[in-house]
Formats: sequence, structure tokens, C-alpha cells
Amino acid sequence: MTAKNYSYPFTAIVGQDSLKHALILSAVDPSLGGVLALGDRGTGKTTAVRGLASLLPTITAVKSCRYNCDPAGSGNLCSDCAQNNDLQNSKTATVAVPVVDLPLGATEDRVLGALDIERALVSGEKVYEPGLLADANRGYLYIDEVNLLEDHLVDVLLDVAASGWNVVEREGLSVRHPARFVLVGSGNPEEGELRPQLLDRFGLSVDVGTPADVKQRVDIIRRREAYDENPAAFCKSWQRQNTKLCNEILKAREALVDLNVDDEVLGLIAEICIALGTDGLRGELTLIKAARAEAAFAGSGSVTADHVRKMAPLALAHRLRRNPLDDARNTVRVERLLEEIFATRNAA
Amino acid sequence: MANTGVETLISTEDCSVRPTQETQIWSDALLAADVFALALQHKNTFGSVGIRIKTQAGPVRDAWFAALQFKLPKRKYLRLPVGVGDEQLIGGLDLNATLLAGSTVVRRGILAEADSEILVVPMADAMDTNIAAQIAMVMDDRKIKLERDGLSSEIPTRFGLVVFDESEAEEAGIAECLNDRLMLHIDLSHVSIRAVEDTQTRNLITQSETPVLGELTAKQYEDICQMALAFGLSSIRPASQLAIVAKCLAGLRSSRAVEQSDVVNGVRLSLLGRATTMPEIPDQQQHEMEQTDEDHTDQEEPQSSDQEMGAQEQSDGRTDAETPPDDVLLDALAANLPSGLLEQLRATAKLTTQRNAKGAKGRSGSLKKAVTRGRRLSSRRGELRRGNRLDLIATLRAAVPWQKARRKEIKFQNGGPDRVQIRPSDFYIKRYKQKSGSTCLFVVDASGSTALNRLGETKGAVELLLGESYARRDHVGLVSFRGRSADVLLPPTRSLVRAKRALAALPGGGGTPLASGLYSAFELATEERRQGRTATIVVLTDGSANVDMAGAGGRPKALQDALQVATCIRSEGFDVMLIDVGRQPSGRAADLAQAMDATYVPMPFASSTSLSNAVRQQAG
Repeated sequence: MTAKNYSYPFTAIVGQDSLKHALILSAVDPSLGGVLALGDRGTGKTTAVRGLASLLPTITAVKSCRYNCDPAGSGNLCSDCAQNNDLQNSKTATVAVPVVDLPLGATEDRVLGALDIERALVSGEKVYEPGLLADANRGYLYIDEVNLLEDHLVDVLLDVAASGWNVVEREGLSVRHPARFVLVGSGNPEEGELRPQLLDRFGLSVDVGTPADVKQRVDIIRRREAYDENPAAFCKSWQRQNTKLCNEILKAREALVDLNVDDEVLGLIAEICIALGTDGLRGELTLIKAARAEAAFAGSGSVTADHVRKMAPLALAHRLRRNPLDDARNTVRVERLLEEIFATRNAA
Repeated sequence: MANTGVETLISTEDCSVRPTQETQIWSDALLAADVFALALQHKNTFGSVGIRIKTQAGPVRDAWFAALQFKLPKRKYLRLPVGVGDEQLIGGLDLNATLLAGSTVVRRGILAEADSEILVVPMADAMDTNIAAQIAMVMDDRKIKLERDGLSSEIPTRFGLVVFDESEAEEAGIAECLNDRLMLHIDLSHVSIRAVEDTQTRNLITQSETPVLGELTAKQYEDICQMALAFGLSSIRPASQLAIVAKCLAGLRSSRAVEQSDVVNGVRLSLLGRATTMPEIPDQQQHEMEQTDEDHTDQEEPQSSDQEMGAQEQSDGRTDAETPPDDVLLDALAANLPSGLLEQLRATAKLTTQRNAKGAKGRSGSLKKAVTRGRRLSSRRGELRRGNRLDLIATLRAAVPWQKARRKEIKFQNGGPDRVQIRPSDFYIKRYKQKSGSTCLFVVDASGSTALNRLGETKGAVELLLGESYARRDHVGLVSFRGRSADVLLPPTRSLVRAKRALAALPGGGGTPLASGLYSAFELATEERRQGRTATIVVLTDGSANVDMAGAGGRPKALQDALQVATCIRSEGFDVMLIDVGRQPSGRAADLAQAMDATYVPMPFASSTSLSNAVRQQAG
């Protein structure tokens, strides 16, 4: 967090438990595949995602690297770092996890990266200027109003998010650089539908609504006013809670390494996915990962059916095919089915 | 105590001028302008400050705008061009300056220029959702995040936003994402210029250099949240905005404490204009209002001041009595509302919810990007292939910065000619947006039950309609259902020949799998919408379903399935027309039509011509 930029503290957000929970789990296991927050206006979607930035633990990166490559050599490396035989001993820097905003109205060249226009003008040199995807490597890419994004940008994003690499072939440049990021999107489905391909790319999805409880709503307004009055002081007063949560996330990450999912739980997951008729295997894989992350965050030694039950709506609701004979919301359908499955299990 | 400042203004007016609905709305509009001006001066207001004025362009709106300019004389007023593009809005690379300076120069967009000024948006209802969303984001962040043309910068900006909503009652209005961020909402569409002249002489509130805002008590915060919920505004922003408006209203009276009257006035300025539901005003109060209404004709002035007094008493008694807060507030609000307004608002609220249920989705699908016709969109990098048109200016602009580099390269290779070097990567393609075509989907009941003896007429009608659709360049699709399942005889096409052939070959007889037939149509319609066409479904049936979705016989289940699919179709908001071709119009078909929100046309003695006439009317 820079001195000037105080984003609203994550822990100070009132309500929105499932959204916060989904974001925390995506921090515990970044390979989960991102979070999609769908919901009405004014429900604090954007605030929660931006608040994540101040919460996340820092990462170590190669100091000279434009793409924040990991000096330990894990993950995708950019061409310079991959060729560096002495990567472990290169100078490192501790940087905040990048949380990059992709604003509406961004042009393709700034997203992908393009020729550095200034150097081309001044010295006639052709130099690649990395774009937002490069900035987001090893961090988060946040798209507000994801359903309003232009189609061609969505295509590019899907491709990069799936491969972890950004390949640029334009203006006589040929560049390939790592771009592995957690995709976080938010939007209001009433203002434009999301394509199924894009929906499927998100690991977890959350339906966001405003709390109907007056006390909670008052809290939201008063905290927001306190924050607007003096952001620095407000952030400071929540610093302790943020640090506490950050440590919990770090602990969960360590616990995740030793956590295995036994066959019985895998069977249950498969049963749920078959019963719901989700397309492809992405649903199963995500639910397994989500249940593991949930178990790790909860501090339990093994992944149980309860963890699966808790995570199934988040991991599967957006992957269901629309059922013509049931106009209930997808989360409701998942819940209903889970109840059935667990009732028969308990009876057996 | 509360009888100072704003309160006096309203009440004296009510006593001296004929207290019509119009004058009150007009004085509310002026009060809103005061709040707008005060909120703009105060640095801690949430994001930028916005006001929506709903009315057609005309003298009333001009008068309001003149009043605003009078209140805020030192500000510049920038107009957002209609059909503004991304680059004009948020900025981009200034090519001329960049080339002259030899280093990148940012061209500031209108949102950056509007910093600490006032941005006026005319015809906001015609604004692109994308543009509205961008303005909304800048209002939230108080800065522009520019990621364009190789530029990456953040430009802080805060502005006052005046949004002129020129939509008619049944139209869609302004984009919700922006609407939600506007603090004040005033509907001037029912105010005549006469009311404006009546109150023109009103004193303007002079503001001190350093405005003071009122403070809310914990209970008032609760009241405010409850009010927002009571008006069906579940977003948290309206409540938050109402809190600011109430504080500003107290500030206008130079008071540190927010009175109940401030909250009540705030509700009128901030919530009423966008309410989606109306809270139940207690009966007694309504009765009183009605009475007041009737009495107006006989004795106007005493009655109105009584009413004012009543409101005053209530607000005084508030602190002592242990009545639930919302009731007291609602009472006060009811007493404070111009007569008849509430009814009118109820009607609008109903309309808004209906529109949200149906209109929003219908709209999103009904526009598509076409290649060569329609309104221009911003051009975009692309390839020159079939039908794409080159945007020459944009292409040249894209090529210019690289000239030095390219010349160097070419000279290095073979010392080539010294002329403008354009590469395929520079190509910009013109893009257009066009109102999409429409598709008419016919769902024909070919079962044995009753439709058999009507099948001939039905075929004739469909054929007539096909010819017409062909003339209009509409797509036509044909679904028939009989026996155990439905068949898509003809996927949406423009081929008249194919359609006629499919129709002629349509056999009759068997059970009535109505649910399957409707579902096929539903799927086709959804697909058509995805392709950007507007789908109209025309169902010709007698509604006596006897085969269910799974293909099994049995009337109750079949009917239940059909109704469920119908609900599905309704939830997607398709235009549906149901023609009851039964010999005797049955309740079943009418029920089904209602479940689909369809136009129901009973046709006991229809000929093909009268059938096609009915459909033509529906399709417009």
C-alpha cells in the first residue's frame, strides 16, 4: 500500500461474507481460477475486490524483472529470467501482490502491450512496452463491469488466462511473456449477459446482494463516511484485523501443501457434478481445489464432506445448464440438489 | 426550531401561492439545486455529486438550469456531446502535439476537463451503457484510469454531474449503473412554465464560503436506511446519498443538527424520483390527505397551513413518543407530499418494475454489431477482409508515430523510397452498430386433438406471414409439435422456398406435447437473441396439452410442464402471441397465454387472412 493510496480495508467491509470468503480462498490457493461477483448495484463488489490489495502478503520478485518473476524459479518465467542460470542469486525485491484494474475503455495495445510509442518517436527504436497483463503477472487482474467489456478483449483475456502466457505478434514485434494471474470479475447481469465460455473460466462465483438488515446498512454507511472523512486514519484503525487475516491466509497456504483429498470425498464430488450435469471436468477440479482450500483455511487436518458441501454452490452454480422447467436461481438449484444428496447419504 | 431557512421557504410559499403540486415540485427542484451546490463545495461528499432532471428539453428545464447557473456562477459548464466516444470521454494520445513535441502528449478527455467544473449530459437516456459505466467509475474513484494508445496514467477529477433524462414514462431511462450514483432525482415532466414563473421571485439561499454540514444521530441513520428500503432501493448508495442530502439540508439552514424535516425533504429530493415500490402510508393519513384534497376546492389557504402545522406537530412530538421510526417518518412524508403525487408515483413505480423485468434484457439483445450500416462506433484495429471498410484517418494516425523507425529499417535493408510507410498492423476498420433484424418463430400445434381441422387455415396464415416477413427481410422459423415431441421444421431462415416446403410437408395427428413445442421455440428464441436479433414467438394451439416434456401421456403433468416452460419464456421477456385455434376458446389457452405474458387472440372462426392480420398487428 502506497502512502497516497488507501483502499477501503477488506476487514472493514460489513456483511458480504460469501464474497469475502471466496476472495480469501482464491488468495489461499491462487490456482483456483478466480472469482466472479455478480449482483445488483451498490452491493460493495468493487470495494471488496480492491480491499484485497491491502490485505495480501507480499511476494519476492527478481528486482530487474519487468514481470515480477519468482527468483525461486517457480511458475512461468520470462525469457530473460529463464536464461539466467544464476537466478537464485540475483537481486530480489519484496513487492506487494499486484492488483491490476482493467478499466472499461482500455485499448487492446495497453492490455497486451505494444511498441513503446515515445521511444519510437524520439529515437526510432522498436522496444516492447509491456501492458496490463504483464503488470498482473503473479497477482490479480480485476475487471469491473466484466459483462460490458468488448468481445475482442474478452477473447484475448480468456486465452491468456488459460495458458498463463501472453503472446504478442504485432507491429513487427514478437514477444512472449508470462501472465499468470487470478481473474476477478464483477458485474450486474441485468446490464448484459456473460458468455458461457467466460463464465466457465472463473473458479468461484458469488451472487451478491445488499444486506436487508437495517443495523448492517447503517454500519456500512457510517464506516464509509468515516473512511471518506479520513482514509489514512480509518485504514490504520483496521490494520490489526487485516494483518491477522493475512497471517491466517499464510498459515492456510502452508497447510494446503500436506492436505490430500481421499477417494470417498472425490466420489462425493463426482456424484454432485454428475447429478447437476455440469459440462466438462472443470467443475470437479475446481470443487476439489475449493474444498481443499476451505479445509486449509478452516484449519482442519482433512477434507470432509462438509467442506465440499459448503463450497459446491460457489464452485458450481455458474456452470449449470439452464433448465427450462426450473426458473429458480442456480444457487438455489445447487442447494436443493445438495440437500437431496446429503439426505440420502445420511440415511445410508 | 425547524421553522427557519428552507422550511420557511416552503411553508410561506405554500401559504402565499396557490399550493399546487407543480409549485411544490418546482420548489423542490430549486432546493435540489441548492443541495447540489452545497455538496459540490464540500470536499468530503462521496465521490462526485450528481443530479438527474427528468423532463423533455423546454423552458422549464432551461429555467432550472438558469437557476443552477445563478447559484454556481463561477463554474464552467461542459456539455457531453451526444454519442461521445471513449477517446473524447477519457482522453488518449494527442497525435499532433506528440509529433510536435517528440514525446508523448496526453489529450485530456472531457471528464478530465470537467475537473471541479460541472458536466452536463443532455439526452442521457440515449447514452451508451458503456459510456455510462465509465462515467460511473470515474465518479467512484475520483480519477480517470487511462489505459489507451500506449498511455497509462491516472488523472484525478471530481465534477458535478447534471443529467438530463429525456425518456418518456414507458421508455427505459438512463443506465442503472449511472442512475445509482446520482444523489438527487427530480421529475419536472409535469411542471408547466406557469408554475416556474410563480416562484421565480423566490429568494436564493446565499452560501457561506465554508459550508457546514449537519450531523446525523444514530437513530436518523437507521431511519434513513429504512426509508431507502421502504422505497424499494436495495442498493446501499441511495441510503448513503440520502444521508448526505439530509446533512446538506441542515447545512443550508446553517444548523449543525439534522431535523426530521431534513430527512423528509431529503426523501423527496433523493428517493421518490427513483422509487421502485411505494411504502404503505398509514390509512388514517391517507384519509386525511384525501380530505385535504377535497377541501382544497372550498377553502384553500387555511387548510394547507393546517396541514403544514400537522406535519410540524408530528416532528415535534417525535422525540418523546415511542412510535416506530418509519411510521412517523412516513406520516410526515405523506403530509409533506403534494396531493396526487403519491398515486402518480405508485403508477410509475409499477411501471418501472415491469420494465426492469422485461425491458432490460430485451434491450441488451436487440442491438448488434453489423458490418456496413448503422451508427458509427469507434473504429478498431483489424484486418482488411470481406466487407470490412478501412478507416483511413485512423489508419494514418496509427502509422504516423512509427514512420521514423520504419524508414530507418527500410533504409537499412535496401534504401527504399522515402514515403509514408503503412503496415497491415496499422489498419483500422470502421465499425457500425445497427438495429438488428427480427425473427418470427411460429409454433404450430399439429396434433390430432383439435388442430387437425384447423391445420389448413394455420398453414395458410403462416404462408401469408412468411411472404410478408420475406418482404421485411425478417427471419422466419417454424416449430411443430405432435405425437411425442416437437420438431424444428425450419431453423430461422430467410429462405422463403424452404419455409414453404417445410410447411406444406407438415403432417397432422397424434398427441399434444405442448411443453416440448414451447421449449423448442424458447431455445430457438434464445439463440436468435444471442445472434442479436429480436425474436417474436407466435403460438398456434388450443392449449389442451396431453403429452408431457418427457413424452409420456397424462393431462395434468402435461399441462403443468407447459405452464412451467411458459414461465421460462416470460422470465426471458420474449414477445409472445398465442392464437387459440380451438373451436371453442378454452380457459387453458388463456391461462397459458397469461403465464407467458402473451397477447391472447381467440380465433374460433378464423380464416388464414384474419389470422395473419392479427399477427401483423402484434408484430407491428
